[in-house]
This record gives sequence, structure tokens and C-alpha cells, in this order.
Amino acid sequence: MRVVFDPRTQLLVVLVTSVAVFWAGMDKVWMVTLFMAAYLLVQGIYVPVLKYLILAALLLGLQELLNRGGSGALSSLRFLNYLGLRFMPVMMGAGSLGRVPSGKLISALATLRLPRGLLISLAVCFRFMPVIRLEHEAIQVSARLRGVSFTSPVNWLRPLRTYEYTIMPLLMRSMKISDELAASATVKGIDDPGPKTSIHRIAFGLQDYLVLAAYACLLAAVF
Amino acid sequence: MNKATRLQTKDYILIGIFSILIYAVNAIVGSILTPVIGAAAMPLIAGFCLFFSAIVYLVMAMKVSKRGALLVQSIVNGLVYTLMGVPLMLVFFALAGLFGEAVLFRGAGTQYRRLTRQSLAYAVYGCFYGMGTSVTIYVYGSGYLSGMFDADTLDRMLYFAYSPAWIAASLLFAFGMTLLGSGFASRLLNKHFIKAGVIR
Repeated sequence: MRVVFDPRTQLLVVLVTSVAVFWAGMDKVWMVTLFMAAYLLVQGIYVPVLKYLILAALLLGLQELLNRGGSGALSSLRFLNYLGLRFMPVMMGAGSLGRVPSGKLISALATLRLPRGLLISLAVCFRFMPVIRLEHEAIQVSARLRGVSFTSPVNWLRPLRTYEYTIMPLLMRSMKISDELAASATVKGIDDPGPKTSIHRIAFGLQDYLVLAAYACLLAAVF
Repeated sequence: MNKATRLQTKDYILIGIFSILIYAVNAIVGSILTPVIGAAAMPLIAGFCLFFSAIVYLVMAMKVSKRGALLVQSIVNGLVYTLMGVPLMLVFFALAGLFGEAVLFRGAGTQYRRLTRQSLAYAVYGCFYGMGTSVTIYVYGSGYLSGMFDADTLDRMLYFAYSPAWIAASLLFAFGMTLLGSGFASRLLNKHFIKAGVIR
């Protein structure tokens, strides 16, 4: 059974997590990561959770190795590794938020009384995060066929040209997606100045209170 | 402001998409360069990020061509950073966006379609962007970051944040690299977008 949370709960979980990973000791971050894994699993998100957990295990292993190393470039790599481990729970939470349909997200955020324009930009921005990755992967398939992919080391010798071949199709696709989204929103009457209704029911349910209470208990244990 | 010069829903959608693209480009370039030059010249990384993200900004700015695009982009980026645990960046980026908009303010409206003015506005925004890490240290203090970074990295960050020479170098480098990136971006814009009629 999949549990569906209110988008405001999901947003709150991301916000709290982003602060928690700053304050938690490095030896406690794994508890937050495990909680986020459980949080995603109850929402029916299985494969990404597995990937996140494997990545977390790899980063932990790498951290152990890097801790034995010296300074210089290794220190910078350790810094990136630290960031990766700390921000993984935030990414997991954001991944869950990124799956919320735009209409539902806008309806939920509208209750927070944000300016409407900003709200639209923000909702599109969250929703577009996973789309970028998919578009980028599709572009790289074509780029590899033409021998201009940045994954090929020979192209690293011409970084500007490789960047051009990577970013231009992405920008073109982004503009097209933006036009399609704008047309779709206009057809649905987004420009109408009157009050908006939504097919999505926006209300806190028992599952929202339970997850927030469980998270509060975990954070109390962590700190 | 009349309807033609005011941001419309389609503009907000475009800004939302391009804001996350700018964030992604900056994050990827930053992640690649940190192990390479992070130890020796961490404050210069922002300049390289801005060099590469200039094309994304310019495409967005030329497509929207209205007042407020840079400000909304800054606020959305600030909100993303807020979600990443640094709410200070929302205020900071909003301020940076306002300064960028100030560069674009004077004119009859055609200035929003001029690559030079938009490049200058993004370069001013870029100066602030380059100072982001240092400002986080000034406001929160090293205590806030001590749990986040190992002692070695934190010492280096504090040195860079409080060294006047590095602050000046960071500002100048971010400004110069953004302009350089805009020059590169202008060439690509002409080659791919303006010639094709995607942007007029």
C-alpha cells in the first residue's frame, strides 16, 4: 500500500532535513538517511531508495579510505564526499517532492500565500528536477552516437565545444517544454484572476501527523 | 507596468525551468572543480561556474526580455538553497538579484533585449554569487559549519573568507569570468538561437 503525504508535509520534511544534516554529527547522519529511506519506501518509491542506499554505502566506504589519506586534492575530495553523505537525505526528500504533480504542488503551496508568479516558478522548478536528468540522458545517447559526448575522455580536450554540444540541446528542449507547459497551463485557466479550484484534495491526514511525529522523535534521538 | 512589460505566467514557467538549469550547471561545474582547485583557490570556483551558466541565463533573459526575470531567478535559486539548509541565501540572492535588476533599470524597455546590458547585470549578480560562501561564514560563524566540514577544509575556508586579497580576487574573477562567459554565450546565441529565429 502506498502512503500519500500532503505536499506541505513533504516540503517541511525537506526543510527540516536540510537543517538537520547541518547540525547532526557525521556519525549520526546515517540515522537520518535510514529514516528518509523508510519515508520513501512507504510512498512506494523502491528502486531509487535502493540506489541511494548503495551510493550511501559507497560514500561511507570512500570516506573511511579518504580519512586515512593526507591533505591537498584528497582533502578536497573528502570535502565533496562529506557533502554527498550529508546532502543525500535532502536529495531523497526532494526526490519525493519532485514526484508531486505540478497542479497538486501549486494548490498546496497556494495555501502558504506565496506570490502567485513565484509559486508557479517554484512548482515548475521542483517538478523539472527529475526531467532534466531524463532529458540529459536522452541527449547523451545521441551525443555518444555522434562521438561528441562528454563521457568520452577524448572530448575533454575540447571542453568548450563539448559543453556547447551538451548544453545547446538541453536549452532547446527546456524551451520547448516551457512552451508546452505554458500552453497547458493557459488551457487550464491559470491566467484567470478568480479563485482557483483543484481536483487534488489538500489536507493534512493521519499519515502526515504520524510521519512528522516519527521524524521529531528521531531528531530528538539524533541530537 | 503594462501587460507587455509585466511578467506573464509563461515567463514564470520559463524562469522556473531555467533557474533550476542554472543551479544544476553551477553545482556540476563546482563539483568537478572543487577537487581540482578547491585546496588552492576555492573562491575562484564561483567564477568558473558563472562562466558556464551565463549561456543559460542569457537564453532565459533574451526570451523573457522583461523586468524582474533576474530577480525571480535569484529568489528561486535562493529558495533552492534554503531547502539545502542555508536560508540566508534567500535574502542574499534576492539582494544580488535586485542589484542585477538595478543595472537593467534605466531605459525604455529595449535594454532587456540587449545582450551587453543583460551580461553586465548577470556579472553584477555574479559578484554577489561569488561571495556566497564567505557571507555564510560571516553571518553564521565557523561554529555552524564545523559539523559540516572537516577541520582542514574549514580552516582553509576561513582563511579565504577573511583574506582581503582573496575577497577582491574572488569579486574581480567572478565579474570577469561572467562577462567572458557572456561573450562565449553571445556567440552561441547568435549561432543557434537568433539565426534560427528561436530568439528575436
